[in-house]
Amino acid sequence: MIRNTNNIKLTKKIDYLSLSMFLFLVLFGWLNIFSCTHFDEELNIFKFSHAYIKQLYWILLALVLSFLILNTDSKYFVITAYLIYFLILSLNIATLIIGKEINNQKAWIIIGELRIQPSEFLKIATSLALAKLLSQHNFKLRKFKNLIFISLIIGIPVIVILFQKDTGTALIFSSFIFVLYREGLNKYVLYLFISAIFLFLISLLVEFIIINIFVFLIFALIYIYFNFNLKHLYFILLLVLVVIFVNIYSSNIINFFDIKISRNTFIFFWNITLSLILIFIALQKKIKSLPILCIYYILTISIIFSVNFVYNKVLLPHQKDRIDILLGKKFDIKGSGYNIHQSLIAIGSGGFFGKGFMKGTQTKFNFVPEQTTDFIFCTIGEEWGFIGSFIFLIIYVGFIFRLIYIAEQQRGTFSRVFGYSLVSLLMMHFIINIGMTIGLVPVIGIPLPFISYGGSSLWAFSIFLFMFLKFDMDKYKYLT
Amino acid sequence: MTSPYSSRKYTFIMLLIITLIIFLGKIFYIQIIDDYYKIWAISNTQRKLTIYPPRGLIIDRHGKIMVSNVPAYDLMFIPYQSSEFDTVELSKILEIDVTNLKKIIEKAKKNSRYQPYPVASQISINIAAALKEKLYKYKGFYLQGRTIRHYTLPAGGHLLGYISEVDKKFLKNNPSYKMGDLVGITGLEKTYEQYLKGQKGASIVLVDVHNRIVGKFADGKYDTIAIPGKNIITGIDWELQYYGEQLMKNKRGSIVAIEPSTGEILILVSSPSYDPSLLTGFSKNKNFKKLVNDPQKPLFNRALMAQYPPGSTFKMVNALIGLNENILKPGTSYGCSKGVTVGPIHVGCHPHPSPLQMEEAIQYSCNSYFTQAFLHILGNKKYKNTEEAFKVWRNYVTAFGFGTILGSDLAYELKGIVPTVQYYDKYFGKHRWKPLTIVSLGIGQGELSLTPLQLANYACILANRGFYYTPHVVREINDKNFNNSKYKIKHVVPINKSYFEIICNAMQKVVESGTARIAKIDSIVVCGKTGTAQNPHGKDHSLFIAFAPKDNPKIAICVVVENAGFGATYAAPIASLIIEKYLKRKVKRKELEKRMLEADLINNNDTLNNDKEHQ
Repeated sequence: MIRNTNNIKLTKKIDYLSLSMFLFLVLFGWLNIFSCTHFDEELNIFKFSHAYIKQLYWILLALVLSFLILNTDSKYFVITAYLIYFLILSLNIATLIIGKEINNQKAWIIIGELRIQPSEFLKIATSLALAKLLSQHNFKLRKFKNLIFISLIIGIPVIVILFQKDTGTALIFSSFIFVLYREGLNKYVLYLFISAIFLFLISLLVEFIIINIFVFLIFALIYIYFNFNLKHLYFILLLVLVVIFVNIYSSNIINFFDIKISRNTFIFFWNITLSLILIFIALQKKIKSLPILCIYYILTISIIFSVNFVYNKVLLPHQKDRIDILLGKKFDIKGSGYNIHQSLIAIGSGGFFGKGFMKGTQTKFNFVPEQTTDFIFCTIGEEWGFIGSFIFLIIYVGFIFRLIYIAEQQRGTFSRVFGYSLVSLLMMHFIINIGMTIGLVPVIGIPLPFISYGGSSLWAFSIFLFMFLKFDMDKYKYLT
Repeated sequence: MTSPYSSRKYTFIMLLIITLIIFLGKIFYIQIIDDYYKIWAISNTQRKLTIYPPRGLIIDRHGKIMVSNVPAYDLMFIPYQSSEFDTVELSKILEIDVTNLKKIIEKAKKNSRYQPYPVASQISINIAAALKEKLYKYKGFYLQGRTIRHYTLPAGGHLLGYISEVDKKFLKNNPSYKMGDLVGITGLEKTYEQYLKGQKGASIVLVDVHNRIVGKFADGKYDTIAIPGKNIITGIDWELQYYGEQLMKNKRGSIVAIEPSTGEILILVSSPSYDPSLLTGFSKNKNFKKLVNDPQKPLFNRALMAQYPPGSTFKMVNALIGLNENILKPGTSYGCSKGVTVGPIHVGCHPHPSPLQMEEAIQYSCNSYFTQAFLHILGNKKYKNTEEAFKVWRNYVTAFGFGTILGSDLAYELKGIVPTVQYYDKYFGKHRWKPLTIVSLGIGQGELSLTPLQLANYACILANRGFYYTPHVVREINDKNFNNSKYKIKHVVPINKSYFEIICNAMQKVVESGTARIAKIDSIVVCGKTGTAQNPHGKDHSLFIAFAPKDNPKIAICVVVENAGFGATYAAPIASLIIEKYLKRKVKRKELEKRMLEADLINNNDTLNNDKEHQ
C-alpha cells in the first residue's frame, strides 16, 4: 500500500487555501461570539467566565492540536482507525454512565472547568472506521453483507447518541448517506432520501393547488425534455393551460355543478382522470414514455394528497399545531416558536449593511437563546447585514467546495471517504443550522462548525480537517 | 487515478448551490424586503416609557393651593414579554387579592399582547420601593412614574371632582388618550381637563431580555419632555369651602356662595360630602364602590342637581314682577288673618301685624300678601287672558336664571323647573286652569323647583340690584385657548333697578327684625330671606338666601338644609356664619357656631325636634 522510494519527495505542502479559509471562519466566529458576549467590562484574558475568552483558548488549543496532527504520519490514522472508533465509541457509552446531564442531554463529560461532548469526536471515529471498511481491498459496496457492516458502523454510534438524548447529533449521522452515494451507492437511495423529505415538507407547507400545478409542470417539462417535438410541445402547452385553469377555477366549477366534495378532492380526482385519459391516448398512439410518466405523476400527487388528507382529517388539532410550528406555518412566539421568531427578528433587523460590529441589539441583549452556539448566524445576520451574510455563506460553501476538490484529488479510497465524510458532515451542519436559524428547517439543536461557541465541536472539526489535510499532504504516499 | 463515481461530486456541488440560493433568497427577503422583523426588533429592545406630566394645580382666590400632586407609581404589564411568575408573591406585595390579580392579568392579555396595561395604578412609593427590588422576577412588568392628586384640605370633593383612568368607551371617542391615562370625570377636573392634563412626554429606553433597562435609545435624541398641566386660578375661598363643609357635616343640603360683582363662586358645598383624597391612589376603586353604595349618596352633587321649591325665598321675585308691572306699589297692602281664603283655597300664615305693606310682608314673610299679589299679577287686565299674563310672569322668572341651565363651568348642572303654559294645558286641559289653580307659585311652592346654585345666583341678582354674571369657579388660566368672555357678560333682569332697592330694604329688615334675626351680624348689614320648602316626603327643607353687606355686596349666598324645618332654624344661621367668616375672617359667635357644627340631622332626629320646640 505504501510506496517507499528514496528519491522522490512524497509529501506536498499543506493546502493553503483551505487552511486560510479555516482560519478566517474560526476568527470570524470568534469575533461574533465576542460581539454578543462582550459588554463594557475590562478585557482580561485570564477571566474564564467570559465566553469569548474561553473560546479564544479553545481556538489556540485547536491550533496546537492541528499542529500536532500535521506532524503525525497519516498512516497511523489508517492503522488505528478501528481502534480509535472503538475507543471513542466506548467513551460515548461511558458518558451514559459517568456523564453529566445538561439541557436534558446526557452527552457531556466534565473534568474540572472542561466540558467535553464525546459525540462530536464520534463523527471523526465513525468516518475513520467507514473509510477503513470501504478502502478494504476488493470491497464491493453493493454487496448485502457489506451494507450490513456499513449500517453497523454508522448505526451503533447513532443508537448511543440517541441514548444520550441528543437527537440533533444523531440526525447529523444521516449525512453518511452522501458519502456512500459518492462511493457508489445506488443513486435512487439518495433521491428517495431527499425527495421523501422534500415531498413531505412541501405538501404540508404549500397549498395543494399550487403544488399540484407545480408538479404537473415538472412532469410536463420532463416529458418535453425527453421527447422534444413541436407537435407534442403544443399539445403539452394546451394541457398545462387546461390544468392551470381547472385548478385555479376549481371552486367555481364545484359551485357551478354543485358537487358535494372539497376543492382538493375535486382537483385530485380531476388530475387523475386527466392522467388516465393521457395514458389511454398514449397507449393508442404508442408513445412509450408517457404512460410511465403519468403513473409516476399519479403516485406523486397521491402521496401529496394523502399527506394533506391525513394532516387535515386525521390529526387532532394539537398534533396539527406541533407540525405547524415545526414547519413554521404557525408561530407560537412564546413557546416552541420563540427561538426561531427571535432569531428571525435578529437577522431581519440587520438590513442590507447590518448594524455594525458590536452594535447588534437583539443578540447582545440576549433575546435569541443559544445565540453563541446554535444561533450564532443571528449575530452575523444582525451585525453584518445581508452583504456580510452573503459573503460569509459564499466563503463557507466555497470552503466545502475546496474540500470536495481536495477529496476528489485523493488517490486512495481511505482518504477520499474520510474527506467526503468531512464534506458531508459540514454540508449537513450547514444546511440544518443556517436553515433553522432563518426558519426554513425545523429547530434542531446543532452547532455551525468552526463558528459556534464550544470547544468540543471546534476541536473535533479542527482535528477532522487537519487529519484530512494531512492525508492530502501525504497523498502521493498512497497508491490507490 | 479517478474513482468510477467521480462525477457524483456534481450532486454535492448542485445541492450546495441550490441551498445557498434558497438561503440567500430567504435572508434577502427577511433583511431587505420584509419590514416585519425590523419592527419586532424595535419593540423587543426599545420600550417607550411615557412620562406623565403632573396635572395643573388648582389655586384659590387668595393664592392658596387647593390641589397639588404627589408622586406615585403604576405597575404596567406587557403580556407578550411575560413569563410564568409567582402571582401569590406579587399580590402580597401589591396588597391585593390573588384571584383579583389573576383576573387583571387575564384582562391585560385580552386587551393586547403588546400594549402596556396598568395592573395596579397609583401605588404608593412604599409599595413601589418594595416592588422595585423584586421586579427582575416579573418579566413584562415595569413601574411607571405617575403623580396623584393631593388635597391640602379634606374638602371640595364635589367642586373639584375626581379623575379616573380612561375606559374603553371613552377611548373610542377620544383617540388622543391611551390606556392608563387619567381623565377628569366630574367637577373642575372634568371641565378644565384640557388645561389640567398637560402634555405627555416619552423616553425611549433600551431593555434586554431580562426586562432591565440598559440605557437610553440614541442618547435620548428622540425623547420628548412632559409639559405639566396649566395651573387654574379659581375664585374659590378654600378655607371658607372647608368651613362650609364642616358646618354642613351630618346634614343633608348645600351651600353656594357667589361674589355678586363677578359671579365667581366662593364656595360650593354639597352635603353629605366626601374627602376627595379617598378617590386618589391605590384604594381608589375600593373607596369609590363604598361611596357609590352609601345610602346617603355622598357622590350626589346637591348644589347643582338637587331641586327644591324655593318657598318664601321666591316672594321677592313676585314682589319685583308686581312692582314692574304696576300691579303693586310699595304702599299696596293686603290683609292677613293667620292666612287668607281665596275661592276654595286657604293659605295659612303665621301670626304677625295686619294689614301689611310690601316691606313688612317680606319682613314677616306673609303668605296672604303674596298669594293675593300673585292673583293680581296673573289677573292683569293688560293681557287678554291668564295664559298671556302667565307667559309674561314666566319670562320675568326665567330672566332670573330659573328654569334654565345657568352655564357655569361645573358639569352636570340641572335647570330646575319653572312650569310652562303647555305644562298646565297638558295637566289641567286647555283653558281649564285659572290663576287660582296655580296660586301656590305665589309663595314659591307648587310646581316650582330650583337648584341651590340658581338660588345663590338669585341672591346675586338681588345684591346687584338687577343683574348677574353667570356663576363660575375659574377666574384665570394662563393659556391662550382659555376664554372666559362668557362669564364677563352682564345678564340684566328687565326690572327697574329702583324696585330692587325696596326689596333690599325689606330683606335688611328680615334679618334685623323679621324672620331671620338669628342671621344678624354685628357691624355687617346682612340682607336675607328665609324659606321653607314643603317636602311631601318628610320634614320641610330649611332655605335661606342672603347677601352682605347691603351696600356694595361682597357675598351672596344660598343655604339649603334638608328636613330641617323653617329657614331660620339651620339655613339662616349657617349662611350667617359663612358671611361672617368670609367678611371678617373670624367668627365671633362661638356659641352659634358650635351648635351648628355639632347639629346632627342625619343620625339623630331628636335634635331637630328639640330645635323646633326651641324656635
